[in-house]
Amino acid sequence: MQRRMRWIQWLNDERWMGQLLILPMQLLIWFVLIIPMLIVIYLSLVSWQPIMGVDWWQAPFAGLRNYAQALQDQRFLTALGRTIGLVLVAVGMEFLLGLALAIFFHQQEFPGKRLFASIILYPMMLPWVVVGLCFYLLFLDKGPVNYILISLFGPGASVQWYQNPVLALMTIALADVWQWTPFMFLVIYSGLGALPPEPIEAAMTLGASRWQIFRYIVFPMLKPVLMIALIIRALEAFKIFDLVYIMTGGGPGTSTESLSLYLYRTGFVYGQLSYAAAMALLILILVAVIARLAVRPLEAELEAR
Amino acid sequence: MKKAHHQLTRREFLKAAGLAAAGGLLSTCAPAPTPTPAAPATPAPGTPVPRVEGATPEERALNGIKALKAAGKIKDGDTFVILHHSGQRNNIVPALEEWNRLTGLNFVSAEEGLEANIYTKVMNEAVTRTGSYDIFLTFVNWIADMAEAGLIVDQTEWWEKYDPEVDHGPNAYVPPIDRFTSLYKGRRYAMGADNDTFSMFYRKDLMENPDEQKRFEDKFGRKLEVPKTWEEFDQWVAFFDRPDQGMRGVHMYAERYFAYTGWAARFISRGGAYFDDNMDPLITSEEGVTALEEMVRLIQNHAWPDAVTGDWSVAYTRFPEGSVFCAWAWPSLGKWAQDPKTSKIVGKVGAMEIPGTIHDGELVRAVPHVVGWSFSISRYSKSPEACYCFIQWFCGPKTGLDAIARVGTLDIFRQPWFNEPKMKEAYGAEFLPVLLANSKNAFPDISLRGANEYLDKLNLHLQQAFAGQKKPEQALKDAADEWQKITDRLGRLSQIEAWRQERKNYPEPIQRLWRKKGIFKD
Repeated sequence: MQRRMRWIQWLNDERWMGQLLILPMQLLIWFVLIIPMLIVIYLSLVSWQPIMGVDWWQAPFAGLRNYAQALQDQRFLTALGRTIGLVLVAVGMEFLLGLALAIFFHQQEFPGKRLFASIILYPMMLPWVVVGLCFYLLFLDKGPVNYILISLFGPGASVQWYQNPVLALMTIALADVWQWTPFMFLVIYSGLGALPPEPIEAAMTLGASRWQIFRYIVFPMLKPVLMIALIIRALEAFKIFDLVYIMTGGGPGTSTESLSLYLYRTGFVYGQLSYAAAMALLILILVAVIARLAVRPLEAELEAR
Repeated sequence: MKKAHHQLTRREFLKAAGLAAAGGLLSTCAPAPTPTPAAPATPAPGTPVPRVEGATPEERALNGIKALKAAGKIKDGDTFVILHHSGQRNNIVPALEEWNRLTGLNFVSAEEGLEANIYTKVMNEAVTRTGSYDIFLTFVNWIADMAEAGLIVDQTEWWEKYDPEVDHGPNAYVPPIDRFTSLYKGRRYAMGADNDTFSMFYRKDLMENPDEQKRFEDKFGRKLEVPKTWEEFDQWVAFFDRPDQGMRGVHMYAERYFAYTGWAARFISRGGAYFDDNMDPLITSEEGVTALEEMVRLIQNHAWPDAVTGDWSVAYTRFPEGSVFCAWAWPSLGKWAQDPKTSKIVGKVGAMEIPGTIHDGELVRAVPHVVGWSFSISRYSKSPEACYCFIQWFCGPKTGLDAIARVGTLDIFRQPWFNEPKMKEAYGAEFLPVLLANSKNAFPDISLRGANEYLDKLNLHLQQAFAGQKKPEQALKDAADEWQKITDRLGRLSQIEAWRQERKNYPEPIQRLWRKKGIFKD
């Protein structure tokens, strides 16, 4: 009886009860985030592959050798540059197209507007793998795109999309743009809908042109939304894997290999988990710095408001 | 004395939770007591291994299960899990039902749809040691990785105890498949369950056309026949290359994953070897460079571009649709090309031995055995010996015949099966002698520890050569440089030991050629 009372008292003590309630979440965070992260850091500092025949906790210490190797690894650096280029091109196009579509849908009234807005969102709902496979088939040597080109311009118009590295990257970017422009559209369209109408109406009354209204009123008010959309998409696009894996396998050679694909190959095909861990951490640091720099002006602006 | 009441700070709480979590994690994955290796101890040299009674491999396997039950090591209803590719479902699942009925055990199938994921799962198991899988059906050239990671058991002693009739007697596998699908560093770590020797398929109707025969004879001054050498093959392909009629001369893999196959067949038939006895790459030799120059010319001049940019499945669309004159691939391409559901050239298909190179009047053929599947057994299984009994039973002369004749991705590997009506029906009577001849000249993929990486780096540079991004010599030099790094990282001495054993699994004519050329002495 006394023991039971003590237990009830303990439970009624809000200090303990509070800690008890958050304990499951704390444990979850430790197990799925912090401890794996610590293991990744540990692995990056040793030299270990499962096929070496020693357990990971017995692996020889390598210090920063894996990091140094990554910074001198031409394939890693090229994949990094290529991925950044792909992000800039694909996300840039998605942004412009999404913005244009959002403005169009925001300003125009036409029959079936809601239906079309829904249809535009469909690509985003498809799995990456389906989009990758569809675009892969589209640009095959005997695929529909070449069929159209040949029908229009003759047999010489057929293009070897996957043999030329630039064209191969273009097809990947195109697939990404097709799938993710709807995301930009959705975010910007929602942002436009949430803008207060008064400043725009006032500007119209004062005779401002449409461009002036967009440039000096809508765009500044929409900037936080645009920044968020761009950051989310850029971070997501930076991890591009499925499209590249399915459409080109990173080839010819490594000419379309993205960072994620190289990391996957290093870790799971070559089994170099230590080296892959070091590269992953370098990428994490890079992405964190870029994201921080991108968010900073936004924070400043929001604080200023 | 009463303890002073202590306010638990957030920091302290987080620390305590962290320690608890770390402790929990370490207790599950860090130095867990390593399960006692269930592999049979290697007997002292000369110690006879007691043989299990039984007239056939299947019978001995079943007797083995009875003995294990009698010894109380297993009991009815015990569950064993086999990890395999979904393409083998039709080969494996019906056999499992039969095995479970015969033994009272519960062997179950765990399928994986992507081959690459099997490797990932296998390596995860090597690290985490959960014992989730008892038997692995994997690529032949992953055996070394699995053995070195300590995941699979050495089956050598069981081979002596149960005699699976793999390398001797009338039921033997086709040599040298009996060796390279099972051996690593001279020990039996696996049992082959497949034959992935490549064969070349061609348009027989065009070969039999009198007009074509005359034109060919007028052009080359010899009869139109299936080529025996690579030189003849290149002329043959060029002759039948008709892009204006929507048919190119050949489809051979030059893409990201199997680009090495065509090059390796030429390279090795010329007397080339991947490494010397110190694991220094020999691929930049004259044999290697010439073989690649020939292949690049062939692919760039007489193949569709998707030979470089496509994947393995391109052969399975190009050849059956009639858009290439000849193509090479696994034995199943013949089935596809003869199936009205998948082919427009039914009845027009011929199969031929892979060409070779003539050395002092002797034609040496080297046929790539690409991928191939072998059974291995987890060290962490509850009864590795029971698992062994299953794989011996499954690969047995009678059970295996039934299992392999069913449509699936496992192909014919025991010699007497090549005369079986069931197999003739499955593969076509004309094709089987060709496949048998090719199988006898089959050489393995690189099967050293790190084989995935060696092959991937080779493919990467070869594909760049095929795509015109690199000169053949440079591509091979780059691949060789990468190979040196891999060897040094994984331990040269261990790799040397493995390679010296592995090269003995090549067909005898190739080994003879190596000796003649002075590449290897034994």
